[in-house]
Amino acid sequence: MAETIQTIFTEPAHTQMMNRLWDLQLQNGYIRDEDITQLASLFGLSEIEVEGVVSFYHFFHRQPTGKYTIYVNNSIVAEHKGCQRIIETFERETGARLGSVDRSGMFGLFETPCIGLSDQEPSALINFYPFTQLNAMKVKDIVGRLKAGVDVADICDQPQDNIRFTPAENKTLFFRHLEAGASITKAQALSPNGVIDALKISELAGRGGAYFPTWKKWQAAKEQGASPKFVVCNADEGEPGTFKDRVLMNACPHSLIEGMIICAYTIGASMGFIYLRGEYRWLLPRLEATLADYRKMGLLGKNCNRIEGFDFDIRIQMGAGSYVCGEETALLESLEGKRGEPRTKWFFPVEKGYLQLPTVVNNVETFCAVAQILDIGTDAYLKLGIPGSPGTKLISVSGDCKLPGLYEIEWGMTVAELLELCEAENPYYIQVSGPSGECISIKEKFRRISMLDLLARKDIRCGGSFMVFNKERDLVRVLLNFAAFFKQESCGICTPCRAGNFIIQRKLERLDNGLAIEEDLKELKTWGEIMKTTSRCGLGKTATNSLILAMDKFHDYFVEKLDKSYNGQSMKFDMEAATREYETYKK
Amino acid sequence: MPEITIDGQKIEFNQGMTILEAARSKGGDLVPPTMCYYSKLKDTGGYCRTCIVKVEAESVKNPRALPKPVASCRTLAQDGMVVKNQTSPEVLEARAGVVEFLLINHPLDCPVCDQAGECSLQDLGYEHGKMDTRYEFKRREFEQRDIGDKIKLHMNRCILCYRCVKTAEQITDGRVHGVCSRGDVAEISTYIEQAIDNDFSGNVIDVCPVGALTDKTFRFKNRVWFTKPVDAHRECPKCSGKVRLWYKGEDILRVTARKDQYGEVEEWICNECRFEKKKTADWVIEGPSKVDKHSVISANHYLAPEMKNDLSMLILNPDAGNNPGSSPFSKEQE
Repeated sequence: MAETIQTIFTEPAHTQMMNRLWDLQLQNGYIRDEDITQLASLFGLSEIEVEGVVSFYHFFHRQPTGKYTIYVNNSIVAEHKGCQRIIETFERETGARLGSVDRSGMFGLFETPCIGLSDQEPSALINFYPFTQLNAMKVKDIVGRLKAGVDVADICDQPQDNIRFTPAENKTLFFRHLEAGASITKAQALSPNGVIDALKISELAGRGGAYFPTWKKWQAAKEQGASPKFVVCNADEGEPGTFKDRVLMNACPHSLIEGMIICAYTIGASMGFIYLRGEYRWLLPRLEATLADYRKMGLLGKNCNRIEGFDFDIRIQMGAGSYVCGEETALLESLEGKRGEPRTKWFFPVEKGYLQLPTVVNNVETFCAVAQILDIGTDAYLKLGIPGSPGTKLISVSGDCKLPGLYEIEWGMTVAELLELCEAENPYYIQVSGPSGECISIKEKFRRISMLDLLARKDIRCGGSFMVFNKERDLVRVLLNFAAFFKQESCGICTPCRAGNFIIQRKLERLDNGLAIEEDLKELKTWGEIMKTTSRCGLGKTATNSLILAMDKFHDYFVEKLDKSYNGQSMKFDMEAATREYETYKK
Repeated sequence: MPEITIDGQKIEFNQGMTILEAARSKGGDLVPPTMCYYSKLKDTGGYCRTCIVKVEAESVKNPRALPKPVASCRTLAQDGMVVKNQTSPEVLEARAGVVEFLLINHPLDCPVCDQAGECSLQDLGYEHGKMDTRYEFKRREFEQRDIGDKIKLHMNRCILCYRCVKTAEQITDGRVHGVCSRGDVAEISTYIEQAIDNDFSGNVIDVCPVGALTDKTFRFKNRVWFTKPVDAHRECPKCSGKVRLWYKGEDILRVTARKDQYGEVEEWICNECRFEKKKTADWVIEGPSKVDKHSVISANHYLAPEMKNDLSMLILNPDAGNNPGSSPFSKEQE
């Protein structure tokens, strides 16, 4: 059997844009003017279109980024674990200032939001190889070795999976042994309709965080007349604090691939894609090797698993640093080699997705769950979890706890139980489902984590991220970190998200500097609400969720920072704002 | 024929129309304002969020209300749909918020902006915005870019409606400008100083709702409300030749395409008609233009109610406050 990807469907040339840009970025450290011209003529586009794509993704640069390009994670957990000191140490050791390259052109130093290693912070990527649990000594050592000419690949870390907990009595769903091809054979025995019924019975819902019933999505795709159809795995795990997909792809990539094959078999798709975030480039060899194995075994390619006429293969598409590409329609745009701007929802991807053809987009965890559910059978699956919310859920725990890592919990576990398991240290508030999720107080620790009851706010649906903070962690600074993140990651095409995130960040900075008055808090809230109601996609709609919730639940943190000397007339002078321009000018 | 209800008025529409299109087919106050949607171009809309409306019932089949306001330019009308625009306080509040956000990234340099007086953002701000600003931070600034000798790009004023990008894509033969970067720093850009150089590029000036793209041949020559619009045409091998001439005395200060009641170009014109033909002898004059929509300035909207009663203001401008339609602009027309 073939070991390389089979040509079942020939994609239009321009879909290769991102791959070509990656090649050039890695080869030269940046995209040169002549590259833009060449790509434009290669794909029959104007130069500005190519430029538009390049400038959309923050891992593509138009200026040299050094022989060694260092990206230090600046997410909130990293901030609490001391990423600022790591940046300073890198600056001192390499001679490169943050956001630039040193004089010799050897090192480029940049910040980037969460790289999916929140359980082993502070962390960084050097030439996209991971380095975890950094400290000043380690940084010195790394830079020293790189200067001595050692290959980055030889000294990088292999991030731990840190699977801290799986349900007792060996009831793990995701990490149980799965014989290669076993779940596919079971799917075949069930027939496509049988697979959809099984998913319906198991009540599996999209694990990316939106919890749309998987069977409905697959059914809709199956019913579409247009062909070919596609299966896309959303492995653009960008929500700060989440790393469950990283662990799944590292520990059991085969179950992901089987899940995708089952989906293709069910809906009649001929090609699949794993859209892997740029930050996880180091997982690429492992995924490629697993794909090659599956091709060798005849489980991918022509007549997969000896099913006559079922031709299916999977290609991996690297993202290049853009949180909004986790939104499924933005992801599809990016997959087509364009700017990752969310589409208007005229159609669902199952109707018109990749190349305007029927496409199922699901999260890594969803595909893995499908393979395992079919393998153990729905009866066994329904015994897990609680009625109405069966099964298990992967939760990435990070922040102020002794045991950060991955927890596979049965649905229905309470926040308190999870806090105990991870040995949380003096927890005071918890950011559930990442910055776009909700901020809960320790007083709510008896809430269950389940798929039930989203609106009543009794239970919590966790998308995957669970960041624990103790009372000393300044909530305003946490929210400021989130605001900076959203501002950075907004695609900017709709007004509320483009201007809103910007102004929210400014206001929070002001509050943090002790210059805000009660009126500012009111404005923050109204602006947050406007963004929620009027933004175009999920990013803008959820960006101020936590802020609004936190302002009600933790009013103290905000009041404490207000300008107490305000007498209703003259406001304090904002020295930082006044001198900011001069400071930039000096540089 | 399917029927949609907007602000209590029943409107028949053709299947496939959006809420906005259905509203425009009826006309009047129930039509949501737009900043990015442009009926003459394909695939516009969905960016600015000013046309949001509340859907009280989705359709006959599915009479549930949608939880959040939707962009009317990008939502299909359905039989039995019930929509609230002007009659929904929630929509008006949200729209005022959008206007506020649009203005956050806008320099408010109207006194030195050539678009003033015919600017969609001015109109929108007056009609749907709030009187005061809550924004006290520095506005964003972009590097100046020269995009040729005919068109001036003022990126600081851009509201990223994408109309010019779509125009360049659909009307001119090759797109040489597009959007670069993302988020707060996204900008309309031309590839490395390359001028927009083709026969229909001047149309980007007319589609721009603000003063981000203006006519260099008209730059700082006069305020639009002191000029008199006259419809005229000529035999043009490239375009329809139907234009609007803007006179000051005997001189033609600029040539633009004719615009409809929604400020949209009726027919695209070529650069030769727009930039080269500035003599009355070049044209067959049809007569004064009918301008349906009074701009903020022409309707004297810039005077706040308290100012209208202020004696000193009245002395400076004897017409102010008494007769809202009596600007020099409309006077010359009538």
